[in-house]
Amino acid sequence: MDTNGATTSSAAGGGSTSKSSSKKHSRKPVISTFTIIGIIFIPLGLVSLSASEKVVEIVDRYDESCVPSDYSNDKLKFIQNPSINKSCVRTLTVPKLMKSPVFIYYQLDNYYQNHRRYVKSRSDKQLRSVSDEKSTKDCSPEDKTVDGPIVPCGLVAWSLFNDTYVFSVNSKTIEVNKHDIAWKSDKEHKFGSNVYPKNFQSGGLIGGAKLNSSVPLSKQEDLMVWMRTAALPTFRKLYGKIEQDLQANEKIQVVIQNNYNTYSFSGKKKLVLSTTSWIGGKNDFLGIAYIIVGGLCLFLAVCFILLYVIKPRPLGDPSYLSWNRSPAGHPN
Amino acid sequence: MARGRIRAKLRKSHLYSFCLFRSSGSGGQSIGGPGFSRTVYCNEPQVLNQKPYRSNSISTTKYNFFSFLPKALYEQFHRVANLYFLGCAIASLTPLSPFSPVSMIAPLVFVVGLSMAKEGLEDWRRFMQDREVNSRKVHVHNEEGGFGKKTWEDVRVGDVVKVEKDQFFPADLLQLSSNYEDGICYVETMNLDGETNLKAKKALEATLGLDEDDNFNNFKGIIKCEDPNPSLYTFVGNLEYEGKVYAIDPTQILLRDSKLRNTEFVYGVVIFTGHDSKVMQNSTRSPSKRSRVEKKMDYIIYVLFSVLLVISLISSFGFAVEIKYSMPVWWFMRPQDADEYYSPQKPVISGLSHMVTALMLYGYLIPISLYVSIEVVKVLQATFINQDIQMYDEDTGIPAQARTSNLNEELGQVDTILSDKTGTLTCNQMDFLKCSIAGIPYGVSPSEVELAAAEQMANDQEDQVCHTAIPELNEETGNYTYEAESPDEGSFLVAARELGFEFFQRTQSSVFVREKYTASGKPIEREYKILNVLEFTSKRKRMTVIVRDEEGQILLLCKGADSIIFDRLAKDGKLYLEDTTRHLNEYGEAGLRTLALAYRKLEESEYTAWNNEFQKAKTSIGADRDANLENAAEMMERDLFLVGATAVEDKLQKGVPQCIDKLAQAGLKLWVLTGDKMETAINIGFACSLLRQGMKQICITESGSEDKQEVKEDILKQITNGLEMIKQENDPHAAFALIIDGKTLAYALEDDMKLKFLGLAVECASVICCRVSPKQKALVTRLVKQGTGKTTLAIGDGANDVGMIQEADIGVGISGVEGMQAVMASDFSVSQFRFLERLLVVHGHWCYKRIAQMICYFFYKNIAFGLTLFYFEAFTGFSGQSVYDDWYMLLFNVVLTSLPVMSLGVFEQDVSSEVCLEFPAVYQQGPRNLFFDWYRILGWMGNGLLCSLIIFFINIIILYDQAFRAEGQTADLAVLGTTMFTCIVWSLNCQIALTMSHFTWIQHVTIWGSIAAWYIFLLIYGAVSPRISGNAYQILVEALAPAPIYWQTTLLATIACTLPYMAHIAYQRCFEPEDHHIIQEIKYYRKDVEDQHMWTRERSKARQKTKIGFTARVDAKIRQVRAKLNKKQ
Repeated sequence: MDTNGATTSSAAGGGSTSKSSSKKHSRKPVISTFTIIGIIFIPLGLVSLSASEKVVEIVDRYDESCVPSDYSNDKLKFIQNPSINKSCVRTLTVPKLMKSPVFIYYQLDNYYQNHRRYVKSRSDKQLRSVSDEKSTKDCSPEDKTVDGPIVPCGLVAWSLFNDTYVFSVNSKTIEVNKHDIAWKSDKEHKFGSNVYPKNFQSGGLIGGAKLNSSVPLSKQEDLMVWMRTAALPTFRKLYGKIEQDLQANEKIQVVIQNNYNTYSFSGKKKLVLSTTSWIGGKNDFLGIAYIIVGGLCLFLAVCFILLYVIKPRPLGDPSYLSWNRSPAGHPN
Repeated sequence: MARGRIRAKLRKSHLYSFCLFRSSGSGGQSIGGPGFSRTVYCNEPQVLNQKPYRSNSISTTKYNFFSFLPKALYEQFHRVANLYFLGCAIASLTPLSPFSPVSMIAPLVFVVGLSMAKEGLEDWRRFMQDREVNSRKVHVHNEEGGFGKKTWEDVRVGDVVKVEKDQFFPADLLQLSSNYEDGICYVETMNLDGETNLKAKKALEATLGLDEDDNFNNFKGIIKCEDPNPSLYTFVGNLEYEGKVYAIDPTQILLRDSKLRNTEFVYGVVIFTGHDSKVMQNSTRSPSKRSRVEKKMDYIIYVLFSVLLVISLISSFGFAVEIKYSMPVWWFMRPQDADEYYSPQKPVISGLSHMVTALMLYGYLIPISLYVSIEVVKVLQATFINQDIQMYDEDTGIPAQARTSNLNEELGQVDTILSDKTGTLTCNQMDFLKCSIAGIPYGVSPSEVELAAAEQMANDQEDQVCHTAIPELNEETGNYTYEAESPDEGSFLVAARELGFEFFQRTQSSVFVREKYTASGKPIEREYKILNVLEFTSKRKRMTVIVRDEEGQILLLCKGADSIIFDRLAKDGKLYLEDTTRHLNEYGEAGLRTLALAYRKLEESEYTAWNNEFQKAKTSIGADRDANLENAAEMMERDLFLVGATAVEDKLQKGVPQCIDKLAQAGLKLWVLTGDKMETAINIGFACSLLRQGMKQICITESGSEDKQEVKEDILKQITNGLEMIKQENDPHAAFALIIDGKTLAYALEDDMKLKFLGLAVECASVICCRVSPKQKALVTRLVKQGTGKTTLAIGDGANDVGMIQEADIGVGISGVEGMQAVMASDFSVSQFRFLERLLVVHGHWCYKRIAQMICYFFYKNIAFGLTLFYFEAFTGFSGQSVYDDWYMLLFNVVLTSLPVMSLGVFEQDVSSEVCLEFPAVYQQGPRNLFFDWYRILGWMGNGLLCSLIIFFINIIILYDQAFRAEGQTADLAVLGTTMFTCIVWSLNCQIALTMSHFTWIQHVTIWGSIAAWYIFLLIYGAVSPRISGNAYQILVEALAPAPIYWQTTLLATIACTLPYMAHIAYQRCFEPEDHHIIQEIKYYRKDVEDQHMWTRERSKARQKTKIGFTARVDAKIRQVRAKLNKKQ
């Protein structure tokens, strides 16, 4: 059998000329891998959880209560009638000290911004440069009016959120900073500084907010935020920032202009005030998930240690080879 | 078009041999009639009424310049998966598409383009080969009267060509003359029938004068002959020359692709050109075979298609419902202005058109790159096989060759090997060893087989040594260098020379023999005039020459198979019958090939009368000529006087017994199918340890009765008895051998009996079928393949093995002495039988595991990815919006996950090649299909499902509605999609890293490179204009990289995804380790070096319990001795 070269060492058949290294085959690495994962994950989870715990969040649903009681059976009529005053006053109590900046979000529920018809109905080219203002092929039915193309075109822009919030504490208005709520790249690269709204919300159907046609798109941050379509039917979008601390138990008065129609599809509207930490907003799941996975790994490590104690198998023990295990000599 | 028809026929027929040995037409047809219409005007190719025969240029390419695109595309879209992707690509141009057209079309173009490029390259090679052949030069007679050089492709029917020594014939020629006066020439037909010996061809007497260039200026003639056909050994036609008609027979025909040898030059007229030539008519592509793993893969694809259909239906239904009930209230979607697709009035149409969208969206469940990746991987695997130095035969310089790369993994699942004997187990190299003349045996040395047998059986035989044999054997044909018609003859000549009879000259009509040791002490030259030669055919199994010696005595000398000769003996010719028969049996048992010799003295008158008859038969024309000739020969070959018998040794090839031993230990069964006679086959069986003493031989033979029914019943009874015997056997060590001959096999293979026969055969440790025809070899192979449902491998070297090689799951050709026919038909070729061990046990095992793991992983990764799209669907009102950017999807299959799995497919080794060889039991993982059973496949699919759920829900819960970073921004579609995709890239690549057990730098580069490629892509994609990247512009730099949550999510999802698999393998390794795990551990801790005793013990235990092979024989012997000792005590 010399010709079969049982003694030659290179893996000629495998063709690999490089140095080969075998994986470590031992229970110890298995146990230690699980242990290490556990040891890393659990503290990470705890840190994340505590970061999430530090976040103070106020959520206030106002769609129901901001409808006058005489319209409560026909909310649609209320919201669609432009002549009715939509003002609504809500009072929020700050549960804990909220350190600046406090982010203001509006939250919509059951709103399918991720619907394919909706997502596609926009023109990124047009938003960017004046010369492309006619490229509105994806925007139908909000592509053009008799006066020319709509800028910004499409359903996304057309349905721009138009509730407004005014905050005050003890009758003293709190300033809301609406700058820098959009991504920097949006402002600088995606929305042109020489592109101005044109023919917007001028058709028969008015969707959402109107835009000041003398302000270039690169300054319309509400639009930018809105046009970053959300991934899920429940989403929050940044409305502005309050750049002062809110003390615990402070009562905040919010005057809401309840303009946006979510009543037709029974969507909820919520106003959210939230601080952030390094993990962002309130998000306990991340920490919990880390702790669970880490715990699971430690549990597995313990299991394997126990199993090893109960039923040890020395590594490389030939008695575990198939021909030694099956009584007939060969398992077939 | 005739060629096309023949091709089609060939393709339909599963057995190559049916076509090869088909006789040309039946009787009653004559020249000029149907099938015999060809007319060739010699030396006048420009004659106007000459039919336009095909040109001599050949093309073996599958495609030409124009047909490549349509034909190759057709081939590609023959695959269901590709067709589906084509449909998707077309649909992507409509508004129904969830993706941009480029992201659907680009991967398809890439994948199909790669496969087509491979096809094109292979075809280009064929084209270059054709061009090389077509542009070979040959001397052709031209109008100026001389011979000028022309390329082969310009040779026309009717041209006179001059072919010189060692050149190939450019077309099928009628030989006119040669440099020999008698018009003889010698050709080597290796490319045609695989025989290496030379064949003598002879020109017609009438044209012998045409042996100089100048003689052809006025040469005119008309050849009328048969139409092109694939029969190599027949030719019917005549030549009209100088007002006379001469019959042409196959001896005047020089076939294309054979080579002129030992002759300075020949002149010939071109009869068949190009694709009309016999060799081209014979060419056939071997049927394409697919491995079991691949066939099973199709089922998995069907499963995935069903899953795809189901989730598309769910999705369409959901969409229709949403459109009907939700759409009208979604004012922001402007339902009143919606086209049909979104119109709430027509939810059914919406649902149906959404079906198309959904089928495209979830197309990621079907791995588009699977086929092309497997193809590439297999080609690389095949190069490893081709370049394995340990399967390189230094003597012949021929390496092993994977001729198709389709079947690499099938090599790892072989259950039964069907082997030819001659040329495969034995060398087909004959040594003249013994003879029996007039009842007295003569012999020189014990044969190798005997030596081996003697060694192994400890059962020496007496050898009689005698140097004074004076055989009267000088009938042999051949030439001075003893390149004879069969290896037997060559060895006779050598032996005869050693004994003092030197055969030194041969002309067409005479042979000259120099007798060295005469009574007078002087060498005498004797001349024997050859009057007639009655050729050897496999049907006649004999050959006869009629010679006239110097005294004028006419002698008929006949040699052939013993049974044939014995039938034709005269009453008084049986003088030595008894002794000779005994000697023949002895020789047969010693593994020698035997021939019986006989002669008869003829009276002048008797001869003349017969010769007239014979000549008439010879010149008769038409299809019944062969039969006439045979009848004439039959008349003469009777009343013979037995002289004796000769025996030549059939040498075993190097390493054969050891290889069989190893293969048996790996659990493989070996059947020997041979054309040899039973005794020889049995003896080779002993030499190869397929048989041993103490093994119970079940010989099934035919009773010889006339009644067919009776014979069948008898055979059935024998089979039943055999089964009964096996059933009643109590000794666990008892082994049975089944031996059956061709005649009996013909009955046993009939439909009503074959399963019973198979039942008996699989119970036996070894099966030897002798005297089987090529067709029967193929039938037996089919029986085993279909009857047991297990993988069969056929190995052989000659043209007679072609049928079996093509029929078996894997055909292996021995690229040795007997030419190329078997190799051309085979899937793998090795130059020696012993390389089979490495081919199967090392390469087969590896390739099987690699491909199995690769396919499993492919399905895993596509399920893990594809299902996330489906889950997200449910959150978008089933609208068909994808969570990922089109570009991510585009790269997923092609760049980000394909290279690691390919490196797995090419380089993975569970154990090293040495261990594979040392532990034959490891091979059994393949035939038992441990790595590609449904349990494992479904396990991987389940893992994919789990992985998709983990990734999706971790991501959507973490990136739900809150800010995902300290700056307060919330996650949009692009952020969620990119994060989720990052998790997928990490998880899938870490998963494959866990799957691999063999790492080189290549694996590291591909795995970690793929992950790095993703980030690099994101950077580049984020840097290009937002016109292209849209919401993904600057996404990594601006949004994700600064957000710790992004990195945390990646880590969490990756670990959570791989955790189930880690726990699984950890558990399996600890408590249910497989053999290769233990061996890996032993190797890792170097226990094999520390405890060599254990290592040796395990190695010997790793053998399958086997009843054949050398080891088994030793075991049996030991048992025997022990039993004896016990008795004594």
